Amino acid sequence: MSMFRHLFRGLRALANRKAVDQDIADEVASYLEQAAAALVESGLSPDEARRVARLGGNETTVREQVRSYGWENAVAAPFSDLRYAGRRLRGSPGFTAVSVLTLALGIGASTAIFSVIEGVLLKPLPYLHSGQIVELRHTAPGINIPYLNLAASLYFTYKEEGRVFQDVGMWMPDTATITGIGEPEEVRCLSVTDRFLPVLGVQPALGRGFTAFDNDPKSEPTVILSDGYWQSRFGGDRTVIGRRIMVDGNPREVIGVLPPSFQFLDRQASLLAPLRFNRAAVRLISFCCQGVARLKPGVTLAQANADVARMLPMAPAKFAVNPGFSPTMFADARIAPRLRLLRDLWVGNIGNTLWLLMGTVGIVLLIACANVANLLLVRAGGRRQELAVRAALGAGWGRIARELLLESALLGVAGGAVGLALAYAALRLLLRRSGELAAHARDLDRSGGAGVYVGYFAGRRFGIRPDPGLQVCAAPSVELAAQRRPLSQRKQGAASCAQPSGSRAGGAGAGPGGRFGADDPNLPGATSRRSRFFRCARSGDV
Amino acid sequence: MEQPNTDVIQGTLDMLILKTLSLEPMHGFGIARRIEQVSRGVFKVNPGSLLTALQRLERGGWLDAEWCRTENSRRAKVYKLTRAGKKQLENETTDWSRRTAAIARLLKAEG
Repeated sequence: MSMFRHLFRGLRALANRKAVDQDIADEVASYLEQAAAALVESGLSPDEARRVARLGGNETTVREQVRSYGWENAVAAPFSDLRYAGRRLRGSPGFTAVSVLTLALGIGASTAIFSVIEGVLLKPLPYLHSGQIVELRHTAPGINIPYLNLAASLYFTYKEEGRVFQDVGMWMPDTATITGIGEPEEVRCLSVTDRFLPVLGVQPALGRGFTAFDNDPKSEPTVILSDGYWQSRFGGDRTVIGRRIMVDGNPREVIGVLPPSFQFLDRQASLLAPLRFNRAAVRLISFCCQGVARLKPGVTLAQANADVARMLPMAPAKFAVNPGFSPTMFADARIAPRLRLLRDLWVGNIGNTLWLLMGTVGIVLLIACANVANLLLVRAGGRRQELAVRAALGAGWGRIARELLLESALLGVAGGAVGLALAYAALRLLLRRSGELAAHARDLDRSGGAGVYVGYFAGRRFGIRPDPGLQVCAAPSVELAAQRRPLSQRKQGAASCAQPSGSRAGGAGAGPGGRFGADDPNLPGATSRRSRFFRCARSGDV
Repeated sequence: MEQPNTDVIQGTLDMLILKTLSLEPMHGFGIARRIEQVSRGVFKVNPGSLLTALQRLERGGWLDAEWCRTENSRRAKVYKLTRAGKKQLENETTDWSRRTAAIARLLKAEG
C-alpha cells in the first residue's frame, strides 16, 4: 500500500514538477517567516530575527534539501543533466563538430579495419572445425619444385594407407559449357572426388552428395549445382533433382544443390562435378589436382606430415611409372610433405599486413581520443570559474562529475554513431575495390555486429576517461584562486600537459595546474618556482 | 567549551513528529517549536530535516496536509495525523520503549 502510494506520489511530482516545487518553496518561506515572527515576539529586532531564523539553513538550501527527497529525483536528475549536457554541446557547435568528427574518423577507421580482420582472419573459413582441414601439398627439392600439388596416385595412397585423415579429397578448378537452358554459357566449376564435401563438413541442401560410385568413369555422369546457379537458372525449383542438363555436350544428372553458405576459398563455382578415375589406369606421376583432407580430432600438423612422409615411399609399389619416365624419377624427386592448414592457405600473407594496419588504425584512434581530450581540457580551463561557483553554491561532487561525464559520454556516443556510418561506407568502398575481399562479403556483413561493439567500446572508453573538470570540483577553493592566472597561460599549461601522456592526460593534466595554483595563486604555473626563488632572494637581502 | 549536542537522536524524528501531531494539527514551525519547548531545548530541529521528514511521512500516508490561515493570518501548511499515522505512532512508541528499557537495564547493570 505504502509502496504504491510512494510510486503514485512520485509520478505526480514528476508530472507537476513546477507545482510541487512551488509548494515546497511556499512552505519553506512560510516556515522561516513564522520562525522570524516568533523571534520578534521574544524581543529581537526584525532584521536580527530574520538572520537568526536562517541560521539552520537559508531558503535555498532548505528548499533543495526538501526537494531532493523522493525516488523521482533519482530518475529526473540524470535526465536533466543529460539535457544540460546536450545544451552545452549545442552551445559550442564548433567544438562539438570537431570532437565528433575526430572521434568518428578514429572509430570509423578502426571499425572498418577490424571488420575486415574479423571476416578474413578471425572467422576465415565457414566450415565445421576448420582447424582440422589441411591442404595436401608437397615439396620436391630433387626436381627444384618448391611446392608440388597432389597426384592421383598419392590421393589413392593416402586414402588407402592414411592413419591421420578422416577423409581425403581432391579437386581441380575447371570450366564447363552449359547448353539447353536458355543461352549457352560457360560456367566455372570444381571437379572433386566423392569425399570432398565431407572434408569441408558440407552437406548438400537438397538431394545427395557424391559417392564413390560417381567417381567411377563407367557410371552415369552427375553434377551438383551451387545455390546461386540453382536460383538464377532454375528459379529454386526443387524438382531439378533427377533432371539432366547438358554439360560440355554430355547429359549429366543433377543429384544435389549446395547450401547458400557454401564457399570454397575464393573459387566461384556454379557446378560441382565428380573427378572420374579408373584406379587401375592411374600412373605414378599424375600431379593434376589440389588435395584437401580432414585430420582426425587431436592430430597435429606435424603428425600428419610424418604420416604422409611414411606413405610417400609406398606409392611406387602401388602404381606403375608412366611410360617413358625413368623408374627412379619418383625417388629422385625427393618428394616430401608440406601440409598446411587450409586457413593459412586462405589468409596467406595478408594476415601480418592486416594486423599492422589494425595497429596503425588503433594508434589513430588513440590520437583522436587524445586530441579530443585536449580539446576538453582547454574547454575545462574555460569553465573552471563556473564549476567553482557551482561547487561553492553547494553542488555535490557527484552531481558535477556526472554532468561532465555525461557531456563527454554524449560526445563519445555521437562520435561512435557517426563513426559507424563512416565504417559502413568505408567497407562498401573496400569491397568494391578489392575483388579478393569480395569473396568475404558475406562474412563482412556478419561482422557488422562486431563493428558496433568496437564503436561502443571506443565511445565508452572515451566517455569514462577522467574528466579534467573533476579536479575542479575536488578543490574548488584552490581553483578559484587559480582563476587569477591569465586565461591563455592556463590553457597552454593544460594543453602541454595533455600531449605527452596521451589519452590518460585528463587527470594528470589538471593536477599540476591545481597544485601550482595552490603554491602561489598570483603566478602562472610555469614560472612559480622561479618567482619563489626571487622572493627568497629578496627576503635574504633584507 | 563544547556546545551541547542538540541533534534529534537518529531515527526518532518521525516518532517525535507523529507524537506532536497526535495532540493537535500543526504547521511545520509549530512542530519544531513544540519539540524544542517540550524537550526543554535538549533537541533543536533543523528546518531542512523537519520539512523532509514531513514530506516522507505524508508520502507514507501517515499525515495529511492542507494549506490554512494561521491565527496571525499567515498562510501555512498544516499537518494532521491520519488513522495509519496513529497506528504507526503506537508501533514506534512500543518499539522505542522496549529498546530504551533494554538500554537502561544494560547501563544499570553492575559488575
